Amino acid sequence: MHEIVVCKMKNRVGVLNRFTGLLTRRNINIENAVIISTSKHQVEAKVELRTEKAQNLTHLKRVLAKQIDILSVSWYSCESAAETTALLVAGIEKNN
Amino acid sequence: MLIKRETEKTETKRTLASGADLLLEALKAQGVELVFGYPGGAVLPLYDAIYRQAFNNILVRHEQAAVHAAEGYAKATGKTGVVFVTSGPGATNTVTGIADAMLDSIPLVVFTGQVGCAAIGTDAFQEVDILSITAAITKQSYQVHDSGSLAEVVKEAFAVASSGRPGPVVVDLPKDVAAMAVDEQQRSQTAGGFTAKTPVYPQRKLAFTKMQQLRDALLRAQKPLLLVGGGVIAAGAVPEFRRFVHRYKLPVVSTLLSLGALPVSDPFSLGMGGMHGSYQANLAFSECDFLLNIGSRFDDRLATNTSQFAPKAQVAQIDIDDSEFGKMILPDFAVAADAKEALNWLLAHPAKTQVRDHQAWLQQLSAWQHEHPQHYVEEKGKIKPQAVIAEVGRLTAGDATIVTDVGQHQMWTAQYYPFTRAHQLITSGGLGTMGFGLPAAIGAKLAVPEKEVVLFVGDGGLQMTSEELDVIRDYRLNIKIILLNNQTLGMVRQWQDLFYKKRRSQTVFNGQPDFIKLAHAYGLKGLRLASQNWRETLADVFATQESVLVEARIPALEQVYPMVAPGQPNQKMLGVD
Ligand SMILES: Cc1ncc(C[n+]2csc(CCOP(=O)(O)OP(=O)(O)O)c2C)c(N)n1
Repeated sequence: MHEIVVCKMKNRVGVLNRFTGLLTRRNINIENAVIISTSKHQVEAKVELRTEKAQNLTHLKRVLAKQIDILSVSWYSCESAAETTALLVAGIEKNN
Repeated sequence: MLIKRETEKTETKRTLASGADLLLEALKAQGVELVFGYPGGAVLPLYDAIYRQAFNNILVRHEQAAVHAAEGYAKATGKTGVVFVTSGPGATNTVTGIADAMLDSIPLVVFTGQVGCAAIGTDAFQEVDILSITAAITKQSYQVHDSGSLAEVVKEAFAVASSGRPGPVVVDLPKDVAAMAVDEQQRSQTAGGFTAKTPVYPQRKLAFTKMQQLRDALLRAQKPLLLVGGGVIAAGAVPEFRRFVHRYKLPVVSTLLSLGALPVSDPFSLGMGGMHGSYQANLAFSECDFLLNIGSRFDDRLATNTSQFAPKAQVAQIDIDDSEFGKMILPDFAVAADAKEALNWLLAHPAKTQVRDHQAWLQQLSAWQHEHPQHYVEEKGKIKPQAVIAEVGRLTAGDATIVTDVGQHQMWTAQYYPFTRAHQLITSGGLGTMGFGLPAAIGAKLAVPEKEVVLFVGDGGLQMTSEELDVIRDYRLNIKIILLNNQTLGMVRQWQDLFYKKRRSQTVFNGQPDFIKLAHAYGLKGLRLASQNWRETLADVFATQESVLVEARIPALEQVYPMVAPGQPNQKMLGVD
């Protein structure tokens, strides 16, 4: 399974540091990332994660969501690498 | 409350204000009466403003202590604690305290000095990237780049620290921002609009249907159990909680951090649960058929084996932080809500069915309590730590503000002090930080000067922050320090004895300082209890209005029981036979 997390964040110094820190702590690697600013005050990060089975992804999602500078979190599980790439590149929001 | 140091002179206010002045005004507007801090190069402008404004800064002797003192202050009042430190080593010295506050959900705002904006990133003298260092142990952090945004940042920092699930916030303040002159307009912005708590989180609507389902399931239960966590105290929901317990007739297990939410003497109280919890509390976990957890995070010292925890129960959880649901235990009912709001709902919406009286279940629980009451063995000619704590409980009528360090004495205090009220026990739960006790007691005393403040501390932990004895002398605080000296790192030694075949590696001190002389060196009274008349001596100590360091030499090999070995299910307790 390829896990993709999509976070809308405030466009502030250090916000990605906080985001990646929560992954680092859980030994989760970032396979791919697309980060774009969606407005003057917001960025959107689409990040593909490599996760182990044991990881409590629901917990991670909620921990991400409660960060002050993270405005929304959505989660996608893709079957194939092709699907993953499509999602990352094409823009998940539009497809949904 | 303002404590002025005698040596401090107040100058008349100058008209020219700096960013630092603005900051102090913003703090005052937040209701901040005192801060705990320590000066240094990067905060010279800040300390200059403190001097000019005669702002109340409690001068600690180590920055770690500033944070623990602020935690003690916050825990004793529910208010947000504030810390000022310089950049570099001043900032890194706060890390342990910030982590402690994060794990125990204590509202703090820590202002760290920083090198001037232009020097950031150049490895300037005393420059560290404290925001990165503390990212994992703060709710949020900020670096201020112009004095114009100071007011907003302070406002947001306090809102973040104190709302939702409370926690620590770091505000990094470059030296030039603090030194910058500010114009009148910026000043007036600060003066106004600081009273309201800005909600940082969108207001959540209580999920009525979920609450109804939870309540109905609770009322169907034959053997219900309520687990109360520190969240109930943080939410200021203790009165509602007590009414709820009595209305619904529910036996209650406390966590370490919620002791006092229900008086220990309350007939519904089963005491503390978990690794060193009471027999009846731990058996209640394994036998209950419905467990309602309000504001506890199912910590591993409480739910020692999550897969075998409350095996017969449906689990319901009310927590303001929904990331707690399913983190340790998957609840059957989960309501993300402020504890006060949820409890008020439960009180206002009684079900149509009668509340059961749970007679058989309550009788069973008290039978267990009688079978294995909390106990220790008296030994002739020895001073038992449990007896000392119980005696202090009697002398203070269960009303003192109790602060502990970390170790065996902490667990004995949790077991033997007769807690009666919220905000009464100040202890490092999640991080288990040795050295927390003495500075936290200082913070607590400054927060609630009308209360008797008692510190129970071990000989190991006292040596970690003993320099703060000088703050007690300096500010003439009245804190009763009860040193339970077993001449060992007792709690670690206990684990070595139980799980490492008594190989006492590095846990027995090879000689010790003379703690009485240490007290004397700081101008404090110090005395050692003697086994034949220690109760009388203690009574004398509690009749005085000044600090006393009381050393009780306790048996080195005393164990904390009951004990659930790590990873074992709650009902498997050592020390009950
Ligand atoms: C800063 C820190 N270092 C190490 C520990 C590990 N530790 C936990 S309890 C303990 C022993 C504490 O000894 P003491 O302060 O004498 O208290 P006692 O257990 O004897 O009551 C130690 C070393 C800790 N909790 N905190």
